[in-house]
Amino acid sequence: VTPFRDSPIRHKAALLIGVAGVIALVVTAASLILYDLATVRPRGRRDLQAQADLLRVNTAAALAFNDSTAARENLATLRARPEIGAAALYDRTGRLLAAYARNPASNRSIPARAPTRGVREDGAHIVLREPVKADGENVGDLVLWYTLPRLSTRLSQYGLVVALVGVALVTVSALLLWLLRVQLSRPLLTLADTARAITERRDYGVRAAKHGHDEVGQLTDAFNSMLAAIEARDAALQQSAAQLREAMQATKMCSWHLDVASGSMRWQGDEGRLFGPDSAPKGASLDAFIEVVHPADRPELERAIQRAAEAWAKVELDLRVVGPGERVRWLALQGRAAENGSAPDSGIAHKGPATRLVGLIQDVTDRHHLEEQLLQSQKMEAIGRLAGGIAHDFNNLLTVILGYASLALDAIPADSGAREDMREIENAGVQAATLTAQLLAYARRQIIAPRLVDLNTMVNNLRPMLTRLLGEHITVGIQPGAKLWPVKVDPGQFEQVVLNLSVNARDAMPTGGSLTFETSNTSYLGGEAHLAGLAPGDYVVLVARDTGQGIDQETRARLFEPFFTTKPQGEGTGLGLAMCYGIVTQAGGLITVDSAPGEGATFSIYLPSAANAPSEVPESSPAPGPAPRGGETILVVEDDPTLRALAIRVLESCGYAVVAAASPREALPLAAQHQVDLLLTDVVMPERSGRDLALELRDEVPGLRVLYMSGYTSDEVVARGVHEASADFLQKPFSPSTLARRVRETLNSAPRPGPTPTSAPT
Amino acid sequence: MALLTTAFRRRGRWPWLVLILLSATLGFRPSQGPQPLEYRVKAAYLLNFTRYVEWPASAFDTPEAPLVLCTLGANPFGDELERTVAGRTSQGRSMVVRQVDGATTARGCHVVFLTYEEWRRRRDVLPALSGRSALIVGETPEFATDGGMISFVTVGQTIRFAVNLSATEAGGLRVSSRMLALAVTVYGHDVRGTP
Repeated sequence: VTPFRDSPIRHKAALLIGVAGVIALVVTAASLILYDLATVRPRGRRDLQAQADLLRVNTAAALAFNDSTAARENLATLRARPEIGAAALYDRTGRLLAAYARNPASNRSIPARAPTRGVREDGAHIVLREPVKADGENVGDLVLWYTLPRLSTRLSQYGLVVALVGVALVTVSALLLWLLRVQLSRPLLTLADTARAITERRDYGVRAAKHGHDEVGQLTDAFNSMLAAIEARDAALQQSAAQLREAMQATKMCSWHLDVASGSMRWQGDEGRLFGPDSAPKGASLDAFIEVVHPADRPELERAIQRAAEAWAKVELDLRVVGPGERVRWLALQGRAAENGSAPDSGIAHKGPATRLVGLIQDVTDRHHLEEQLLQSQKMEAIGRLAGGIAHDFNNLLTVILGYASLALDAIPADSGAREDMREIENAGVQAATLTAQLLAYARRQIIAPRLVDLNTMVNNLRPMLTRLLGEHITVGIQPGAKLWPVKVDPGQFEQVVLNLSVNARDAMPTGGSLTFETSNTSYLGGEAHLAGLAPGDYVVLVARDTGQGIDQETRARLFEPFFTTKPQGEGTGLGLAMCYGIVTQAGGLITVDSAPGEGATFSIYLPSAANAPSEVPESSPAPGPAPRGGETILVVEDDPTLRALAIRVLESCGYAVVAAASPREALPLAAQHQVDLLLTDVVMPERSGRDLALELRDEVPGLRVLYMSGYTSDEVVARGVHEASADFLQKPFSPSTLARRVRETLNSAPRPGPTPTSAPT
Repeated sequence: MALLTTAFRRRGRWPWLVLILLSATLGFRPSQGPQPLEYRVKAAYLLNFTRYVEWPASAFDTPEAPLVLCTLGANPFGDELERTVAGRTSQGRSMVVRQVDGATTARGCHVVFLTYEEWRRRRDVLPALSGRSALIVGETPEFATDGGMISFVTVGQTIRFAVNLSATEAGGLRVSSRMLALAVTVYGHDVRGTP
C-alpha cells in the first residue's frame, strides 16, 4: 500500500515540499561546506598574498630608512584583519626590525631571524615571506602568519545561513500550500461536492462552478459536459420509457422477464389492467402466473416455457385467464430466451439451457371474439349452401307430390276412403314444403319482397296472435321506441322472425314469465366485439327479452345453426332461429343473444334504418278464390319431366293451350311455330338459363309475358331485384292453384320491358 | 601641511621604546662605533633619499644621465659613499660621487651634502645653490630651517631626518610622502624658522 495514498492532496503536497526543502537545505549546507573545505586554503593564500603586496609597498620606506617605529605602525594596520595572526619585518641583513602579533601573548614566538622565503603551510597557519623592494632593490623581508579560520567557526557561520534559508523555505512552503489549497484543493472539493449532490438528488441539471481555465477547470468542463450528456440521455431514456409505457397501455401489453433458475417472473406495464383487478398474479413468480391461467391451458404453458429454456425455442401461445363472473380473457404470450444483454441470433448454437426468458403479453380477447365470430359465420354460410342445395331438389319433388296430390283429390269421389289418405299425403307435403322454405330462408336464398315497415306497428299487429300463441301464463309486453325509423324488410318473413322468437321464449318459460319487446333507434359507430360484422350506421333495434331459464355458453355458440335444437325429438325442427338468422342477415342486419343460465335471454335484432328510403305504396295482397282460367297459348320450359308434366296438366285443365319443351334449345322452334302468349320457364337449366331464353323470345314475340319458376334462387335471380321477383317469379314448390293464379295474373298484367342483360348467363 | 606636522610630532612622544628595540637589534649607535659607522648610515640615507625624491627632467641632460651625489667641502664619508652607491641604481640611473668645493663647482650635482662645519663656514654658498634642482642635505637640526632642505637629526641614539618642504619645492623637487612619513619634522612654508 502506497503511504499517504489516502491523505488529502495538501498533505501530500506539504510532504513533497517539506522533503524538497530539507533536501535543498542539506544540499545547500553540504555545498557550502564542501566549497569551504575546497577553497579555504587557496582563498587564504590569495588573501595573504594581496595583504602582503599591500604591506610591501607601505613598509618599503620604513625598511629602507630602518625606521622600526614606522614599520611597527605599518604592521599595526593589520589589526583590521583578524585572520592575520602575526607579522614581522626583517632588514636586509635578516634581522627583525618590527613585529606585530594579534595576540600579544604570541609575540615572542616570532623568530628573530627571518624564515625561508616563499609560502608554506604550517598546520593552522600559512606563512609567507616576501622580499620588500624600494626602487627595485631589496630593502628587507615581510613575513606574515595567516591563521586559517577554525572549521567549527565556519560551520557555525554556515549554520546561520542554513537556518535563514530554512526559515525562508518554511515561509515559501506555507505560501505554496496556501496557494495549492486555493487553486487546487478547493475547486476539486467543490467538484466532488457537486458530484455527490447530483448522485443524491439525481438532478442532472446541476452544473459545477468553474474557477479557472487550468486542469481543474478542464476537469470541471469535462464533468459538466458529462452531466449534459447524462441529462440528455436521462431525458431520452425517460421519454422512451414513457412512450413504451403509453404504447403498452394503449395496446394492453405488458413485458415479462423470467429468471429460469429461480422462477422469478417480473412484469412491466399495467399488469393489473391486463389481467383484471382480481386475477393478477399474486406475486412475481412463474408459479403465481400459472395460478391465474385457465387450468386447461397450464400444461401447454409449462411445456412452452420449458422448451424455450432448454431448446431456445420461441414462446407463442394464447392463454385463457378466468376473471370474476367467469369472464374469460384471452392473453397472447410471446417471448424467447435471452442471452445476457442481448437477444440471441437465430442459427447460433447455444450451449446449455437459457437462464432468462423475456417477452410480451397482450390482451387478445377482442381478437378471439372476432375470430370466433368469423368462424361462426363461415360455418353458417357453409351450412346454408348445403341446406339451400337440398331444398332446391326437394322443392321440385314437393311440387310434384303436392300437385298430383291436389289433382288426385279432385279426381277422387268425396265419399271415397282414399280421399282422406290423399289429404294426409298433401298435408305431409305442405309440412315438407314449409321446412324447405325455412331452410331457404336460413340460407338467404329466399326470394323476398322487402317493403318499408314500421316495427312498432308490426309488433302491435302481431300482439293478438302472440297472446294466443304464448298462453295465459306468459305476459307479453311491448315498449315501443319513440319516432322509430322505418326498416326495409319482407313483412311476412319478419313476422315469422317475431313468431319464432316468441315460440322459443315460450318453450324457455314452461312455468310462466314475461316476454317483452322493445324497439329503439341507435347509431352504431363500430368497434364493439359482440356486434362484429355490422357496418357502422343507423339501426333500429328490436329486443326480445324473456325471463326464462337462460342459455348456457355452449348452446349459445350453436344457437343459430340449422337443425340444432335442445328440444326433445319431434318437438322442434331446429330451423326456427336458423331462419331468423338468415332473414335478418339477408336484410343487412344482425341478431345477437345475451344470456346466462337462470338469467333469461335477450335477443337483439339490428336492422338498418331506411329512414332515407323513398316511401312506397303498399301492394295489395292477392285475393284468394277459385283457380282462374284462360285460353291463351303457354310455352312451358322445364328440365324436370315430372314437374313439366304437372305444369302441363294443371294449365291444360285450366283451358290453356300448352306447348312444352325440356330445354331452351327445344323451346325456340316451338315458339316460332306457335303463337305463344306466355313463357313459363325454369330459371336454372343445364344448357342455358330461362332468363336468356326469355330475352331471346321477347325479341321475336313482342308482348310476350314471362313467368319464371324456381326452387333455387340463384344469385342471378336474387340480384335482379324485388320487382321482378314479386311479379314474374313463382317460388317452388307451388300448388296447382297458385300456378293457375300466377299465370292468370301475369297474362293480365301489362307487358313490361325485359331487363337488360349485362352478361352472358350460365 | 600643518596636519602632517602634527602627526609626526605626536609620534615623537614614545621614542624611547623604539630606541631600545633598535639599539638591541640594529646597533646604529653613533656613540658605540667610530665615525665611519655614522657616515655609513648617512651614506645609505643619501642613497635612500634619491629613491624618494623626484627631480625635474631638466635636471638631467639625458634620460640615461647619472645621478650625481656631491660632498661640499670636507668629505666625512671617506670612500664610504662611493662604496654605498657602487653598482647600484636609483630611479633607473647610475650614480656618481663627486667632491666639490664651491657653488660653482657644485653645478650639475643632484644631491649636495655638507657637514655641520661646512654649513657654518659656507652659509653664503646655499643661496647660490638654490634654484639648481639640487637636494641640499645638512647635519644639524637648524640646517633645515636655515637654507637646507634635509638635515640629519640624532634622536637619542638613532639618526633621523627633517625635511623643509618650502625649500624642496623652491628647488623644484618633489619629496615622496612615504619619506615624509618617516621624517622627524617636516617644515612647511608657514613654519619657517621654527622646528
